Amino acid sequence: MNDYFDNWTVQVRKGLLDLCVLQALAEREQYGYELVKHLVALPGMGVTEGTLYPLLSRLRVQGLVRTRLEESPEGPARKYYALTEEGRRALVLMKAYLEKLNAVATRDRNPGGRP
Amino acid sequence: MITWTPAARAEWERFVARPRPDLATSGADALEVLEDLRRHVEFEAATAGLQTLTAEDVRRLLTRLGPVEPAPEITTPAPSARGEPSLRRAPALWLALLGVVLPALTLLIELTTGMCAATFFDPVPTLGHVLLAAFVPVANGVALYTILRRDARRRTALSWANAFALGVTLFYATLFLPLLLPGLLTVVFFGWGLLPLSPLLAVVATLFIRNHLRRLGTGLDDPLPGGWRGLALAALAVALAEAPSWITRSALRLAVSDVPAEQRRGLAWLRALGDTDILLRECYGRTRGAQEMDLVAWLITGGPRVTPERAREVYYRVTGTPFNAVPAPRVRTARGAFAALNEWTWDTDQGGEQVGGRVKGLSLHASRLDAVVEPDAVVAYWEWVLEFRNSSAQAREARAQILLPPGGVVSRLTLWVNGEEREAAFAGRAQTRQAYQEVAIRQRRDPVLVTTAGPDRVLMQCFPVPADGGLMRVRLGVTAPLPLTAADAATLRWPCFAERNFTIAEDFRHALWVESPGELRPLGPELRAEQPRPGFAAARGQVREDALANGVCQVRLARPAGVNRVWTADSRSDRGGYVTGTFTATRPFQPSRVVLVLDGSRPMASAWPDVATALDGLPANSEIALLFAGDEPTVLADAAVLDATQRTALRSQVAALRAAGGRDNVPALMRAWELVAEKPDAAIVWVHAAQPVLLSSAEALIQAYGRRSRGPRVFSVQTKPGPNRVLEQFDGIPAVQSVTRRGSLAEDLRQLFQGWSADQATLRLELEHVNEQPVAEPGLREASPHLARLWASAEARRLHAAKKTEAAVRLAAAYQLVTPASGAVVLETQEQYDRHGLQPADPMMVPAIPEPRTASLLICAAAVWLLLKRRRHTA
Repeated sequence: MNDYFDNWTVQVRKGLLDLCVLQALAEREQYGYELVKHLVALPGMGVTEGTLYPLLSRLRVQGLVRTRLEESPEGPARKYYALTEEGRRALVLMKAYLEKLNAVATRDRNPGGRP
Repeated sequence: MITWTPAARAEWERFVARPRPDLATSGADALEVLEDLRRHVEFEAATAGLQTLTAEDVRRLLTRLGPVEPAPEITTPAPSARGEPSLRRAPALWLALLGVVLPALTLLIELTTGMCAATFFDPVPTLGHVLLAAFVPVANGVALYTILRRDARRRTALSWANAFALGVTLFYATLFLPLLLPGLLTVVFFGWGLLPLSPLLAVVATLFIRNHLRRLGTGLDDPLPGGWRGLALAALAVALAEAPSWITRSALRLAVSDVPAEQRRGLAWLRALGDTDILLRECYGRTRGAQEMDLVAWLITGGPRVTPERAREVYYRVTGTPFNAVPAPRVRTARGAFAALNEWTWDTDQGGEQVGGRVKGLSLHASRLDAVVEPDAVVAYWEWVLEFRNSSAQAREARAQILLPPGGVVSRLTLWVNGEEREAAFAGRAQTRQAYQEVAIRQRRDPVLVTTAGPDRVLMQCFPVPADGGLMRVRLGVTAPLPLTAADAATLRWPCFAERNFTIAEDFRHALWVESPGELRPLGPELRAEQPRPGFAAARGQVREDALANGVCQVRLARPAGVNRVWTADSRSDRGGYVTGTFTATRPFQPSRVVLVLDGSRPMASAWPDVATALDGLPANSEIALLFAGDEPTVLADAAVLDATQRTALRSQVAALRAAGGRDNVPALMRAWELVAEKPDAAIVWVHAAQPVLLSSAEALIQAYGRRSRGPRVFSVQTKPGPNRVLEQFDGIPAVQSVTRRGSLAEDLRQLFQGWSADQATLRLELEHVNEQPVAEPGLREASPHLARLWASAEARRLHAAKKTEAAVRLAAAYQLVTPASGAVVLETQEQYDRHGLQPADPMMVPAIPEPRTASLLICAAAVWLLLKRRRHTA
């Protein structure tokens, strides 16, 4: 049963990863290292840096985020990520959908408990 | 700056070689990912305080990084894979057909053919309506496309657009409700007629599309945003598009109300907010069927439409312009897109006594005006040859009201039939009109009719001007005295059109020519003086229609100072005799009371300063009253002798008057009559714009003058040329006279008022019929028979005013004159003349240019007699 649940959570986490990235960027613009550290630290997500960078690149290619490079005196140049308008709209739709889905999926269709 | 050792680089290269192919297919940019990873490693090294990266460091950091696993790309999966309700091809096709293709096609067909506009009502009268109707297929099309692509990103915008489109289709479905049943029947029985059903079908399609939109994206039955608000927005847009129509039609109904207060309110609304184009469309009317089908008109005005006749009256009251003086509104008709309304409107005034609206295709092709002046008698004779052209597909009647020179009378009428000249018969007014109507309207042959239409005005009508480019040529001869501006000078004015139903092209020119044995001088630059032969002066020019109508091409003529009496033999009278004219200095008319009636119509707005200036010239001892003909008559000043201060106040009052629309002057004239009736020598000075529409009956005034034909004198001063329906009512009443316009309004009014001064004697030609030839004396000159015609014209008017109509008709017919009692008609054949008891004028006895004098005629007759005698002798 645990294996089954583990597999299911992997699927859920994979599905939610895009949403988590967009949500993190909805709050403010962040540079790559900072963003990745934040996402890796999210409890229950179990995501690694190796997974996040390809995802960020794909979101950029799809036009949901935009990037810019900024030189840093403290180390390598920082690559900042921000949401595009389309990314913002997609986030709204995702959240609405998730909310609706959650409500539909977890709704008790027989509150009285009778079969 | 982090330094990588060669071993570290090799380690890095080994690491990135593995995920590179997967990255390339994951939708991510592989190079970008690898660059990001390298930057991440350097960040980690910098955080750890490393300056140089060794292979070991790289291995350690990469272990912490974890495996590079490209996340699967989110793409649009096949419908089945999404598990969302799919819009299958067949329903999509139906929705596209009913929600996109049919509405678009209906709009396109209506715009290009005007099928519904021409037969029932115009569903898209404005650009706003077109945009609203076009929005439906566009919104439905985009929504369908998006649903098929499963692109949920514009779901909100599409929902608003769909609700808006639904609102528009609901409006049009309601509009087409009366056509629904006929549409269904035609579909069932004939297989066509889908167009009237299109709005209802579009409602259904739009609702289905909305249902699919609801499930777009989530696959769940999610409420769509903006539903009611989109509908409300559509209602607002429809209301905005319909607002001008609603306001205009509602106000129009008020304006034709029987309650005066409502009437005034309706007019005020129309003047402030009304749409003149909608009002103009109402003036052209529609068929009964079309009216019944117009549900919107019923809904917003609460009943059937106002009749075109009432609409025309209101149009004039609102704008101050008769409906037929402006181009007909352009509507889409079944005969072609955006054709002028009058192209298909039947000429309802054909054969009637009104000039009516402009007739499509009828135009003035040529116009030639020749005049000869007799300076001794200060008389002139004009011949106006007019040629009409009809480019339409059906025969047309040309009608015009012609403004004659002051005191003028039509003394000749000719029609060219198959290239030959036919002279008119002069007889009773009713007799000539009846002959014309029978020959023109029933037999559709060639007649011309001329009758009087008020002081110095005649109505000319000729039918048929043949279709497809056919021409019709007529000649009008006019005899008139020339108004004396001084003892030794007179002014010649040209006849002109006051109103017409044919077009005159902008570049059209009237050819003018005038000749006199005395001196003459054109008063404007339009004519040029020349000397055609010794002892004669002439002026010639080609003038535009507006120049002819505005009287700017007048000619000043010298009167021989030594001539104080003229005479001519009267060959037309049964009893023979002579007509003499004596120049007499007469005592000026000195009114004890002057009532000024000022027309409040819009074209008068520019006249107030002139009127205010001219008030100073009013006789100092006369009582002055001032009436303003607004929507109802207002007394601005009661009758009183005014001092300088009061006159100044009155001037300011006049200058501040506000003109609007077209005002009914008859009530004000009636009120003026009441103010002057008690005084035997009072006068009404009526300063007014053209009166193209008779807004109320003048019967009370006509009755007043009928009972008292020498009643208070009315001086009509018209500011601009144009029709005058009010003056037409006073045809044959000598007390009503038009004031000759020579210069500016202020100048002409000043001259009129100055003529009333006690020290200003006026020279007048007094005509008299005598039995004996005047004895030769210094200052006596023989004149042309036009002198006799002018005497006969005055005598016929006197007889007519005295109700001796039969005698008036006999006299006018004998002298071949068009008077209030008589008319002139040209028929095609002698048989037609015989059938109507008419006798055409003898071509040898009609006036001509130059007019042969009696002596010349006797010489000609003698020559003919000698020639005939010689031939007989030879034979």
